[in-house]
Amino acid sequence: MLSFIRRHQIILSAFLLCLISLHIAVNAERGIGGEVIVRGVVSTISKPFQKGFLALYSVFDRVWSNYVYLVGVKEENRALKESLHKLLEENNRLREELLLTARLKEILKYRARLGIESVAAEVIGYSSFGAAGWIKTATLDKGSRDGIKVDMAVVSPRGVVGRIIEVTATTSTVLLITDPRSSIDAIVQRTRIKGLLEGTGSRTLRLKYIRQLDDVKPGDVLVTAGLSGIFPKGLALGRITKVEKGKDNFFKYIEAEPMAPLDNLEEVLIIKKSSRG
Amino acid sequence: MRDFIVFIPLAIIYLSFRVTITPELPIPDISVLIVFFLATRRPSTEGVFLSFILGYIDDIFSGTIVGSSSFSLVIIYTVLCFVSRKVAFTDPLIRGVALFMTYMIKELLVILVLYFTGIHVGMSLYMVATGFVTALFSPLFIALFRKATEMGLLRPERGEP
Repeated sequence: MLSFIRRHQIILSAFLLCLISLHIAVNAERGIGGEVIVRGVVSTISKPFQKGFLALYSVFDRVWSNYVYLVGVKEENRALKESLHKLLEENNRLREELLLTARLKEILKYRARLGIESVAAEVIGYSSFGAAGWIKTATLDKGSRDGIKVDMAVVSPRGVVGRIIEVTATTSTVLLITDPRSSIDAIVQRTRIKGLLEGTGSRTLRLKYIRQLDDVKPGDVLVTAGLSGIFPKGLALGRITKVEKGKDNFFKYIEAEPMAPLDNLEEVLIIKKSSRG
Repeated sequence: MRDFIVFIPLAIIYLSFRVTITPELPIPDISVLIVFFLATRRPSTEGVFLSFILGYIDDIFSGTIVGSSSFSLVIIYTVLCFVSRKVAFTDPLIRGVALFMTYMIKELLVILVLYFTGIHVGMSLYMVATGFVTALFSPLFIALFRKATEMGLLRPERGEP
């Protein structure tokens, strides 16, 4: 028996680990694989690297944007170009700071307008690869130490970004509204018709359960219905881009685009307590 | 044990880079490269466990269902252990083709697990591009892993003391 196990130890251990993997995957909702703990550890280890990579990237980006255009200048203009380079760098830095100030002002203004307890957070990473690239999540630099919890709403001044699905001590993960796992109760602002807005895994959204008779047209704005208790009522979700007769003859086929710029978010607000809606 | 100490931090740092800087760009799949290297070098129970952990970390970083990549990487490791007894992956071209196929099989197995958990996704051009890039950069990664073996950072190759 022992010699059989020893002889086939690779197959036996592989078989066992396959069963464990499948068990974890099938029971993922219940967190049976201890992923919350492992996620916490991995996230704590990877956060400094992520911050470092971002800093390196911004240096590389600045050098690439400013320096590359100066390569190949004539010798007699070198001194002039060097001073120009310095000025460009300083100008770029100041412009970046100006843009950051403008963004932060916009966030603060939006926060005051919302009138809801919220926390500003920075986006430090995106996950949009995985199998077939359907996953749409973002990592924020605020975690449970800052009072962040699962199912808190994440918004930008332009509109809803998503909701928190995972929290570690120092970071949190947002399920973006474009992820196929996301579904939000929505209202067509013009006609007050209710529907369910789902992600598609691409850059678009799909509004479901709108009857053929309902008055909905391209350009209509979608806002949150506030029914789930996660998102306050009346936050901008998206704009309808396509309305077609559905295949089932009961409901319309409607596509929308998100209001928030989900591909290049830098700062967002996490709503801690929804007192509206 | 040496393999664990080198490959797990390497995978964490590499995947941190991937999610931070190149989330939408197809870049080589480090987990597949490591598993391929381990299985064709010196099959062992330790390698099976390392494949499982690498898959688990991969799942955590990619945000997919945890268990899907660990399942596929364990299967890939086991199959490669047996295949490498019959086929020598010494030629870079054969190794590149094998790595491309290995990556595609990994993604297919992930899709299969996702299907059984109720998430229906299909193949994409992104997958093919990542497989191609993984195969293209494999000589560089394999050379680095071999260098690390020579330096004593990793377990020696099959047949060596």
